[in-house]
Amino acid sequence: MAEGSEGVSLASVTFSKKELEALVGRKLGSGCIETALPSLGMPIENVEEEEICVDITPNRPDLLSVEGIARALAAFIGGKAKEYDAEESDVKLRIDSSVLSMRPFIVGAVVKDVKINDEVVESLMQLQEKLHETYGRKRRKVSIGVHNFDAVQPPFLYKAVKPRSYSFVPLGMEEKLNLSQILEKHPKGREYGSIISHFSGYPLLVDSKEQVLSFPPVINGELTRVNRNTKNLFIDVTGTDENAVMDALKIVALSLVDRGGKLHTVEVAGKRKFKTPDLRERVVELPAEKINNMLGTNFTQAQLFKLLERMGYARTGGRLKVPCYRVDIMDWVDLAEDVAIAYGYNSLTPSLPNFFSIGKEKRSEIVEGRLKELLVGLGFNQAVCQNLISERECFEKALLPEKPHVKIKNPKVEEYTMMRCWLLPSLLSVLFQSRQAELPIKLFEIGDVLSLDGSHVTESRSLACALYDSKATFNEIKSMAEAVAREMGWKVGMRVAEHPSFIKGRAAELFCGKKKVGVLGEIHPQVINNFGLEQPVALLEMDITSFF
Amino acid sequence: MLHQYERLVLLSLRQGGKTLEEISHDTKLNRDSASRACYWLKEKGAVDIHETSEQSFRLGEEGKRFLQYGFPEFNLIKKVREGKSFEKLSEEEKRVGLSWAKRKGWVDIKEGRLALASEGERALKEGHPEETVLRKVSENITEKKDLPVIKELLARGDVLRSAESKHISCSLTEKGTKLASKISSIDKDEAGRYVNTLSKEDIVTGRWKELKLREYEVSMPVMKSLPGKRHPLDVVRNRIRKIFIEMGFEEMEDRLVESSFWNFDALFQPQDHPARDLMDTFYLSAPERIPLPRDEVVERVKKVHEEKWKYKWSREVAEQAVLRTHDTAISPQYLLSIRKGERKAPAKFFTVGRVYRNEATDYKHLSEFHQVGGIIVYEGATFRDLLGLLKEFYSKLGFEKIRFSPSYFPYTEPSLEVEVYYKDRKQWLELGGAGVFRPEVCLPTWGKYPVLAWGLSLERPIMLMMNMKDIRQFYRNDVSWLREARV
Repeated sequence: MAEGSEGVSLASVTFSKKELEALVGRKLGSGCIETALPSLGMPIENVEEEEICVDITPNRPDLLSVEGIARALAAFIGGKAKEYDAEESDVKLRIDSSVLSMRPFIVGAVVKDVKINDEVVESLMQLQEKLHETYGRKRRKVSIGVHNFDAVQPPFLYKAVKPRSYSFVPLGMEEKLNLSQILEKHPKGREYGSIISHFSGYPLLVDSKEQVLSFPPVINGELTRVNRNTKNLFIDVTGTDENAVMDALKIVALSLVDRGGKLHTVEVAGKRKFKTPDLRERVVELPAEKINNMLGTNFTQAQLFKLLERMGYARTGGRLKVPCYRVDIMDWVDLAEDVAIAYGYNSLTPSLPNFFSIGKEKRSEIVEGRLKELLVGLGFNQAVCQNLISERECFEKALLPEKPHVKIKNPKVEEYTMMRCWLLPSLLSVLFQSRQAELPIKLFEIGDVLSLDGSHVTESRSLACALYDSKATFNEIKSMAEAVAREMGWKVGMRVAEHPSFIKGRAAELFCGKKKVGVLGEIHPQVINNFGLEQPVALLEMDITSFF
Repeated sequence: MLHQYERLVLLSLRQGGKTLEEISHDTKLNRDSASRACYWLKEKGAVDIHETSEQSFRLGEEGKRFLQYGFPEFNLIKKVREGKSFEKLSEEEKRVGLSWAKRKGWVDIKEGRLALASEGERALKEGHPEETVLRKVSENITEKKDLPVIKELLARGDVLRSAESKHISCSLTEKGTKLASKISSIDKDEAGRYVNTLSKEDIVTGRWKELKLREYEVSMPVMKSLPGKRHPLDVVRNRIRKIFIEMGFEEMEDRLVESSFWNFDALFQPQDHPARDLMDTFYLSAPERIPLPRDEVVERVKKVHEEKWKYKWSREVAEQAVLRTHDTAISPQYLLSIRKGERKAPAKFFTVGRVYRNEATDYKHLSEFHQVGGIIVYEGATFRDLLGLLKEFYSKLGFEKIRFSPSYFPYTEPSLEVEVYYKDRKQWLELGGAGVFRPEVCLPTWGKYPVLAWGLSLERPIMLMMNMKDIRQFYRNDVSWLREARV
């Protein structure tokens, strides 16, 4: 849980209030925007003068543009959804079989008579970029190209070509480059080249005169650059997932329709022939009883229809038309959520589950709770340290012999390369962090230690206590260990031990029955040095899992 | 009646006003005793005390790094000047650098590209005053004119830390001068009859009857007693555990190392989901794989992924070992155990445990932190029950006002985000997510009853309660902080 809250896979979309109002078709009070957008699931990140920035969750690629947001908002406050359709055209797009093994899917659409201005171009770029980043998995799954339709001559052909066999002027450059050179020299080539560079041929989209529209998923040609004077647009979407490319095409095309464009289909011919975009709406049942049961509500069929209309759905007889751009609707539970959103989460009356159950805490927590109480009574402060650590910190600095441990495959920083298998190094680091604190310091931690046996991970709990003071001695820590064992009723024995982290002759091993459970003693001055400390340290570490 | 220490101080001050250090040196009293004597004398109107305080600054963790490697926003504009693309920037430059560079007006974003603004060019030409001040702080040579910059830096993460040191100096009042002049003439015998301490002998022999016990100045400051204490995180963690147990929940036994299968697949997160990216999740090289359960649940999960997400599900990807990214990873395992008859439903389960994200850390983010997670499984469970449960939970924790908004998790529908209102800051703060498990999660594990689920932040509400700014403080465990921290 809390995925969204941590910012993973959220996309933010920025737009101006004026544009939003123009697209919704009415003035919006700031109160209206500030309540309506979050209640539709778009938390407002930032409002700066006229600029609004909202977060969009990954299930709603249709909201990745101001057009999409305006569409949702208009239905939400107006109560009725806009419907879309497309005219058929004779533009054809053929898929050559050579491309099937690398990036097999392409779809297209033509949008005519769009009134292009800077705002439209900017919004279109933002939509493309956000779709690429999230829904398109950084262009791997889906990549979109928007072209000046009047600069090229259909029919179009999507095929694989040898890397050096074609040259064109890529967007943002002035000279012709062949496809290998583009991967090498063009910034987008360097960024996205790895998606296709392992194939022997590269995908290319050309027109009937062999002019290059696009080298997907890398870059478009300068030839079809869109600017303020462009009137008619051609959109291509390529990718590795047929549904995803169809969905992305719909989303881009519809936002241009929202800008006044007229949508025309393209006939795609590959293994089969079909027309894109496909704006047919799915018609589904409205399972009123299931929805009411899940939400804990009592809406009538008519009320449910009314609520769903505010979310862009339309009624057709006794059934429900799902808007074609709502690519996230999989099941009736998705309808239930839309009902709840339309009604308002905060308008639902909270209730409580009405069954009886008996609370129960973990056995380990009961033992640990007693132990913590005891240690606080002995004057110790509790530390809570991270389990992530580095080999250097965990083994080298503490002079502990390395043992099999849980290792991170993809560490981002050198401090976090493994999960700790000792608490001792953590406590010594804490002492370093506390070097300004008044002495004596008495610290304890009860924490996780992870050990590895073959590929089997054991997660157990340990106790560590540290005394830091000019007078910290073996006897003192031994007395603490005995107090713990006595109070907890643990039968723990001690015998002399040699241990590299402790001073020779001032360390003892703790055992319970025949099993070794821990070690205590005075820390070796070399270790004290390694951790940047200045006073003697007496320390105890023991496994407590065996006493649960 | 004057105490011996007071006399010494008065004598010392006869030669004129002095600082505490000088008094302590003169009288051979330690600083503490000298200071106590001064304050006693002040109470008696014999001396005037002048307190001055001086603020000193030192570098925080970030400050140390910035001093060594430069401020991220400054590095950023240098790179922008060199024409490096956005992708070439370090994580910190992207995250911290960009927002500060924007705030300072050093960069503009033109057509989706970073461009140097005129302010930025000026900064590059004239150098970066904050860096100079940082160096001065490190060398302890700051001047008054540096204060505005220092103030800005103090407000920013852990760049600078400030400390206040107090200096006091004393001088005799008129009354004090009179007292001081009489000191030598005070009857020594009289003074000798007053004693400070009561010995065992005094008590058992009855000698105490002849003694005059010196009266103390009871308002004087004394040494601080430092208690042993539990860590604030653990204190609140236990408060939360108690709340759930009060509400009839059973605590789950869970693990930190999980297979991707339980962390992602069983929760209906497609195998190409961005959250599964190496950039966000800690994958393990030892152990690299965790065998999947020998159970038909694997087939059922595979089927639901292939049917609904329409791709070829890979067993190998599901076997990859990860540090769990959320504690919801344990929930489908509990559901499966109900299916197997090992546990019974209806039931309520919770856990408060650690989770991991492969993110850069800063004052708001950690790679390792805690989550409060749980599920309710029962026949009539409704979305309204989930709202009610969260409301009850936060009200028991001390947050009376909460609100919900729609959100998204691949494994819940409806999904919500919960925010609490924090009176002191007059602000809504987001504390976690919740929802009803999707049928795609329940059916492969145990689909008989609806399942309400949540994952809430532990650290964030504590930061609110304790008015903390930097989340890293929890895990630094500075003992001075632990001793003072109250929650």
